[in-house]
Amino acid sequence: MLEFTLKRLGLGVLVILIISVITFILSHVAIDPALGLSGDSATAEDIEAIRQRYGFDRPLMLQYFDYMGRLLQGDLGQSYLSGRPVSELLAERFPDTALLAVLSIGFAMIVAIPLGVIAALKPNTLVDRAALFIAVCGQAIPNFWAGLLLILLFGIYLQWLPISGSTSFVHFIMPAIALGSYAMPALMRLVRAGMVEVLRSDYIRTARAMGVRRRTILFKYGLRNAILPVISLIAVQFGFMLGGSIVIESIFAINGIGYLAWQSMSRADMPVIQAIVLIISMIYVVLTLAADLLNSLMDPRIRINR
Amino acid sequence: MTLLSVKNLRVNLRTDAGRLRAVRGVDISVERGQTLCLVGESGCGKSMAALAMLGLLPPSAEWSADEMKLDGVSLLNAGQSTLSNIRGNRVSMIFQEPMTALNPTFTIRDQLCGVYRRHKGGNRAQARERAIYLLERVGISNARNRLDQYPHELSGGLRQRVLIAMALMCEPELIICDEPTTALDVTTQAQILVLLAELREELGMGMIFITHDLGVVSRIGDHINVMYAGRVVESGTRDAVLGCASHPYTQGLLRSVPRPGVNGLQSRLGTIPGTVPSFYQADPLCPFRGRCERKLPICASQAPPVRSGAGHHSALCHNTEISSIAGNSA
Repeated sequence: MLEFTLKRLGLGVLVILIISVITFILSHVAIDPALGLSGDSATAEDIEAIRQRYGFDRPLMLQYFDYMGRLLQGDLGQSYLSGRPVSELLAERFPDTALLAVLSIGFAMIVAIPLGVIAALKPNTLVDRAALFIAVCGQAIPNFWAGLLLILLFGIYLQWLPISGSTSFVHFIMPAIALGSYAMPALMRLVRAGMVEVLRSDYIRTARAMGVRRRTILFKYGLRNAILPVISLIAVQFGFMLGGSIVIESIFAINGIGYLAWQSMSRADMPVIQAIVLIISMIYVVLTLAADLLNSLMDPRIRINR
Repeated sequence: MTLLSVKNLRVNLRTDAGRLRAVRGVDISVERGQTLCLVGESGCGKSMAALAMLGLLPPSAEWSADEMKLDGVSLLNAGQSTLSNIRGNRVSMIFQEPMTALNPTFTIRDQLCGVYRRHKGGNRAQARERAIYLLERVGISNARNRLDQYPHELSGGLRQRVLIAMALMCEPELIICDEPTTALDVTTQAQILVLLAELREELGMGMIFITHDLGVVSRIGDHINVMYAGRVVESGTRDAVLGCASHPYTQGLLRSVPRPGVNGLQSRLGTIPGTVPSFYQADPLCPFRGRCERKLPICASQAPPVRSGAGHHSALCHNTEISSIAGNSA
């Protein structure tokens, strides 16, 4: 188990290193950073001066090692636009995005797992079709439209929920439903598929032949096996949400990472973009690692020889 | 009193092609301490009959019977909860595929003790003691350590032993073995057969043993029901059925068993020509008539009679005389 964890951890570090190289090269090749810093009114001399002052004229390799050196000390650079440290910007924005992500994935799981189990219990019946219908709706309705519909219904007609901002917990309910309902269908289909397969398996027949109670079979013997692939998907979707949803965050005026990323991209604020990409990849790596560990805890067969 | 008595059991499967008549009026009767073998080729309905007795048929199946009594108590109108209380407790079942029949994400202890505590209650320690006792009894060395292992850490033979132990956790009165040795190698097969016979003797259980292997039947069976196309075509004691086979199908089956020394290198193994009839039509006539070498004109017009002889030996055939004298009355 320890060996498995260390191996996965090593792989994760390698992935992050590679991503840091790619983001660094892209951000220095896609646009001349000196141009980005100097603004529209700068003369050629100004740009050249900036280029020398920030060391953009040096070989890319050296610049990368400098960047990594600063990174290891927790220095993510400064925003070209606001001049503030990137780490400060991220720390400001991250809590809102994280809260939204946790609520969204929570909503998706609460809907998807029971719905998937119920659909699997009665395959190809009306119940199954209804679950499929809900899933298709979730998948087919675009985020922004679902968000707007929710705002219309709960915000304007019923006036139950605030329609924008992030000052209280209540503000997050609608955005979480809008974002979560997009992640829900895939989860539900996977739970259903897993459960259908597990319920057909020989060991469930054994359990039934031994008189094990139905709910024990479903929720203990069955779900534990069916949920294994679902855990990995939850990790990926949660990572996606932690990266911030540009659409949902702008509709509900939540000042999160997604909104920050969009702002930075539209104005070529490279240090911020670079930092966001790196952080999101790290989150992904950590989450997949967590999912792998959780999977190996639940499925003894994974623990060996991997 | 007869331990399990089933009369006129029928099982139909709803399929896209129509209603598949898997079991067509089968009688089964098992006494305590005795083994009834259900013999027949793949698809003859032997497993379906067994699953029906435990209420374990797939959702697409429907069944009916004139009588189904366990120890004199009718199970015909028993609900799922009643059956669930009986399964694993009074009647247990062992399946063909030991490799996949154990839950991969739970330890042996979880699975064995779960069954015990489901039916007998008791605390963890009692369930654990019982599990260790049975694992040792079924010939697993180092039982205490095996308890915390997962199924994938055990070989096929060991897994089948664990499954047998699981089936015995609650001291069942009847154990149904559905080809428990088919997936195992020959040496392990022999060991498991000896073990099952010993345990049946020791615990005084009734046993239903489903197999297509006549060699196994001759070693373990007291009574034999030969099944063909969803019906019992011949039944009787082991010696009667194997020694004085009366139905042409049973005779054909026996001819197709290789016998070292009897079938020389040159002689060809016997086969039964033709194929199994369609399962989709209701057909009261003899299901074997299309392949039978002794068929008479009457076979195509009248349902076959049950011809009986000594010791409950009977065959479903127009053209046979039961000549058995070997059958010991049960």
